[in-house]
Formats: sequence, C-alpha cells, structure tokens
Amino acid sequence: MKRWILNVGICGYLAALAFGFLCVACQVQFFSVPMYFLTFNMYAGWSGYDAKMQIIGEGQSGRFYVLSPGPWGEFDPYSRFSRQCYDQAFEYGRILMRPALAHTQHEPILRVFVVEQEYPKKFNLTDAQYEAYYQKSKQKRIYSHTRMVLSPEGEILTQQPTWLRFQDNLSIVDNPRLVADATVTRPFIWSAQQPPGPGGYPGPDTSLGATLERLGSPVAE
Amino acid sequence: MNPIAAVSPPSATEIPAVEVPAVIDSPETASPGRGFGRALQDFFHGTEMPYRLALTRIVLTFTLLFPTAYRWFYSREIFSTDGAGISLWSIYSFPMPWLEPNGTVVVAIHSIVILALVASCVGWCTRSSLILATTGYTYLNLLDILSSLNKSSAIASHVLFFLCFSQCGAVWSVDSWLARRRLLRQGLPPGLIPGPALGPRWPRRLIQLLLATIYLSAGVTKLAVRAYFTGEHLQTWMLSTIHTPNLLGSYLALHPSLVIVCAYVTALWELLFIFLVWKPILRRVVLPLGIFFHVLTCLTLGLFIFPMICVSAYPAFATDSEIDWLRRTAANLWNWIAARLGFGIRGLAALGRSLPAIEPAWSRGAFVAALLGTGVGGVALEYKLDRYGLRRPEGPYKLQELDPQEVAELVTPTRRIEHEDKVLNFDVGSIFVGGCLLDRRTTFHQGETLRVQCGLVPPHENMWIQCNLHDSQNRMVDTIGLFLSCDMLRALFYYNIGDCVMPGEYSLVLKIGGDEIMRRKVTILPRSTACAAN
Repeated sequence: MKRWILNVGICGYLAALAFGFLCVACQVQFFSVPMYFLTFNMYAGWSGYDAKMQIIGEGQSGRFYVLSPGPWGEFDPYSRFSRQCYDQAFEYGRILMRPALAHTQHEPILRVFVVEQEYPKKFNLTDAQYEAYYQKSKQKRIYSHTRMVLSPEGEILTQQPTWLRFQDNLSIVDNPRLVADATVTRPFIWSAQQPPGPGGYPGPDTSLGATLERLGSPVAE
Repeated sequence: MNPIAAVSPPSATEIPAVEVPAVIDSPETASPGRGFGRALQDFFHGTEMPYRLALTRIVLTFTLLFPTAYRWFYSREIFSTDGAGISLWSIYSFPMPWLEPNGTVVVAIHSIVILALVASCVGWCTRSSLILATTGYTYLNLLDILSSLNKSSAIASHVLFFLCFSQCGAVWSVDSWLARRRLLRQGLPPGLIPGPALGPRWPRRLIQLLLATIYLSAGVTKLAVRAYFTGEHLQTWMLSTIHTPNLLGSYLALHPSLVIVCAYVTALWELLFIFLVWKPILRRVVLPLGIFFHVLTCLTLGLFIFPMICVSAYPAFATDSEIDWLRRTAANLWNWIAARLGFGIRGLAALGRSLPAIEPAWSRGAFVAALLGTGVGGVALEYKLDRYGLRRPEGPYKLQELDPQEVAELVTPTRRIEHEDKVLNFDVGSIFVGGCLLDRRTTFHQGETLRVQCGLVPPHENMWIQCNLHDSQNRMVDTIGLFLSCDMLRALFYYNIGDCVMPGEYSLVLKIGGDEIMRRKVTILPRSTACAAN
C-alpha cells in the first residue's frame, strides 16, 4: 500500500481518537454513529436503584397482557434481566411491543403501558448479607411508575419523566417558597422547554451525574 | 529469511518436534543520532513477526464468539425489522430503513459472522474472514443498542479492523499450516521453508494507542463523575445486577473505605497508563496491574466479555523476549501433548499426509462454500426452530395474561421513596479519612469520640437527619441532628463520650423525619486512663 495513504490514514485515525478524547474530557456530546466509536466514557454515571421495565397492553375486554418479553420466552443478554430492562430511559416501549403484537393471537389492544419498576440496589444483597448488615429481614420494596401510555401503533398518549427525575422533582416541589416563585413568574402562555437531545448541547448541568440520568456501563450503554 | 533448525523429513512413525526460531524484528529502539522523523517512521512502518497480533486475533475472536453465538437464536427478535431491533442511527435521528434488515437476512448475516469469527480464530482464509467478521459484527451490534452495542463491542470493532490489515494469519493458523504442508508436498526440505511473512508494525501501534486512549478517556470520565472518589459510584455499581452475577461486589460494597482506595488506584492507573506503558521496566508493572484490574472488574462488577476484549489487546505490548518465551512454551506444550497422545497424533499426522496438497484457490473456494452453506443452513435452522412459534401445530402463541392484582401494583400512582430506602449504609467507627469511616468498632471507652457515618442514595429531598444515643432501656440519652441538602450523600456525626455517659450498652439510632431507620449497638466501657488530678 502506498506509504502516503497509510500515513494519511494513521494521522486521520489518531486525530479522530484525540477528538473523541477531547469530547470526553470537555463533556461535549455529539450524537452520531462515528462518535459513539470514538468516545470511551464508560461508567459516566450511577444510580442507587436498579430498574426493570414492564410493557403491558390493555385489551378491549379490560384484561391486561404482557407484551415484552413475548410469550415465546425472554432474552436475557447479560444477567437475569430481560432485554427491555436495558432501555435506560424507558423510551423504546413502542418498538419493544411490536413483536408480541405482530406475532401472537390476541384481542384488540387499546392501550399499552410502559412501567418502570425501581428498587434500591441494597436489596440485591443476599438475604444473609442484608440481615447481617441491616439487622432486619429483607423486605424488598419496588416502586412502580408509569412512564408512558401508548396507542397500539406506538403513538405516545401520555408520558411522564423517568422515575428518578420524577422523584427529584417531588423533592424540589416540597419547597413551597420555590413553588410560589415559579408560579408567580410563570407566563400565561407557557413556552416549550428546550430539552437536550441529538445535536444539542446538554445545557447547564441539571443532572448531578448520579441522580437523574441513568448512564450505563460498558455493558449496558 | 529466519533461521530454522533443519529437521529430517517426518516419517510415518515420527511426530515432528517443534523447533522455535528466534524472533527477529526490525529494531524497535532508535539508535542514537537518528532523527525524530525516522524514529517515528520506524515506530509505525517497521516490520515485525506477527506473533503478537496472532495472539490478539485468537483471543479476541474466541471472546467474541460467546456473545455472538449466544445471540444467534434471538437474532430475528433483537436485530431485525421483524422483531424489536433498535439501531443506533435511528435513535440519533438519522433514519436509514434500507440498512435495517428483515428477519431472514439478519439470521443469514449472523450465521456468517459466527463462521467468520471461528475462521478468524483458527486462521482459515484469515484476512477474508477477519474482514467479514469486522463488518458483520459491527453491523449487527449497530442494529441493537439495548443489548448488543456497548463500548466493549466498539473496542472490539476497532481491534478487528486493525487486524484486517496485519499479517496475523501468517502464524498459528490453518493458512500457515496449509502453506507449509503444500511446500513440503512439493518436496521442499523443511529447512528451506521460508518463515512467516513479516508484517507492518502500524496495526499493532494503533492498537496500542487505542488501548492507551481508552484508559485515559475512562480515567478522565471518572474525574468528572460526582461521588466517584467518595465511593458511592463504585458501591452502587458493585451492588447492581444488570451485569452477570459477581462474586465479590456485594461484600466490597459494604466497605466504603476499601472502595475508595480501589477508586483512587483505578483512576491513577488509567490516567498514567498511556505515559508509562512505553517504558519496558514500567510496562512490567502497568500491564499486570491492568490484568489485575480487569480480573477485579469481573469479580466485583460482573463483567466478563469487556475485560477479555481489553486483555486480548495486551499482547500488542509484548516484547520480543516475551514472545520468544511464549513460543517456546507453546512448542514445549505441543511436544508434551504429542508425547502423551502419540498414537492419536501420529494417526492425525498420517491422515494429514495422505490428503492431497490444498491449493490456495481450493481453500478459498471451500471457504466461500462454507459461508454460503452456513448462511443458508442458518436460515433453515432458524426457520425450523421457529422462535415466534408461528408454525406450531396449535398455532401462534397467545399473549400472557396478567393477574389483576399484579396490574394494580404496576399501574399505580407513583409513590414517594421511603426514608429507609434513601439510606445505603450506617456505620460506627473512630477514624475518618477523606470523609469516609476507615474502621468499624462497637466498643468505645469514655473520653473517646464516636464517629458515625450515614451514606445516602439520591434522589432525596432536603431533610433533617438525626443520630440519637439510646441507653439499654431505649431512653434517649443524647441527640445530634443535621440538615442535609438534596445534593449531599453523606452525613457524619461525632459523639464525644464524656463522663456523663455511664458505661454500658447503648444504641445509635438513625432517624429521618422522625422515622427510625437503623440501629447500631455500641458498648461504652469505663475510661481507659484515669483523669490527671490538677
């Protein structure tokens, strides 16, 4: 291979690696496929809670059905959690429900509920470890939170923030003075907030890196 | 041409012992007086024997076989438009539906990728199989962001890409065995068989630089993570079960001081790796530390594939002497096996000699035939297995109905977090280092200071947290309260045990908002030294 082509390729690759590193160092995110392969920001966040995702459909008769995993069995990619539990923002229920609706016999489905189930990670300790440390028997509490309600075609009918953000908002609105300030200064016509997203700068650091955005591991990003 | 010790032609009863020629690469170190430019040129464009990358090739492709083969049965469901495939470009708002395959195509591709990985591992049509493995593996992962695409697969794609440009198939491969056999059958004496082709150095160099950049990026990421150096970050990851189950994570997570030490050592090692690994004497420390680090990620975080992928790139840093040692060890092992399984090996050797020499074109033809057969066979097998149950005698599956009680528990108004669930740990000791309790004690003397630490998990509101001292009759003897803002993760209490606290059994009671959360029993003993009289 001609030497100059190699040199250009090597320099280009090293420049791309350096650019990816600088993006990580400066915490700038570009939402593109190549950048995913150039940024290595593993374990960029954490959460004190583990989550499971349930996707259930409400039939015409009022009965509810599990839509993911399908009745043919679940796929556990890494541990005992089914694949849909790795949807960290709980936003792909409209896609995850597709196989079950397309490949099973069922009555007409009216609505689909995407439910987050969160529980503190300390309940992952074995019973013996838990009792030895906390000096009481383990009584696992699971918090359920309806993240979205979808139509059978995948259209979002209603949605709420993720459970972590919901709880954080609750802790903020506990402050009556703060709520009063926000209410007084709220305009009559509420302008839409600019959410961070693809192509956009995430804005001020609203996430504390630990609480609101569940950022994944090398395994589950 | 490398010197190879001459051996007599193998007879039907002899098992050829493996002789290991010395590794002779173009010199790695610049001689004094050479310019930087020439040193750089030699750094990237020198030539070398491809043993290091051959080892990387074998270990990496073997590692990737596990997740890839495991996902084959589910490929229609997780990768295709017939299932719930979620591609990376679609979530980044670059829809390219023409790149998203249907179920049959993805099963065929997946089957071919598995064959390509096996062929790469054994070194059959190595370059072609590596190209197929790289493109196929990367493409499949891009189709499933939930359970296949992750940073470890991205790293593997990089390394596979560089292997495509190397001569890693020239040694320790079926290709090299076939080539040697062909020459022997042509009557060339073994002593005149040329050694493996030298390969360019730049693929290995780029793998080295990639690995160093990965560690540096990971280290810099950790610097920016809140609560990494205070331990909460690692503690919660150790307790998580989204990875495979781990052996030590739950034990280590309950010892925050140990976790903090691990956090500092890890960050330091990752940040310094890129600067230290180039020196031979420091490399002997840095690389074993890396292996130890990855073993710990396996034991404490439940990672298996990720550490194996990273460690598969470590041979890129091996020195000539280490490679020589490895080759001698492999040769000795082969000779030992041949000596013990002599009959079986002789039989195989005789069978090999009886087969006609396989020309490169035949080998490639067989490879293409294997690919086509695997693709078609994979589709047929998956059709037979019928993941969705569409061709069952009783017809397609019915949806699993949920119990109304279960539905009521799921679709329920969101409730607030219980105070008890906001607390991760509550420990008593006597030494704080870096805001973390270093020891755990339950026995104190009058005059000592009890140090109590309460670790919290976010999110929590601003709250009032108390640590009360109760006597053996559960009467409150003393109380300390703190305001904790929502961004604080740790509450520290100091109890000076004076003479007014009589020796006996006590309890430290943690309360949040008036709710008792946890208790810790402590024993107060009389003062260990008498007070000096004034």
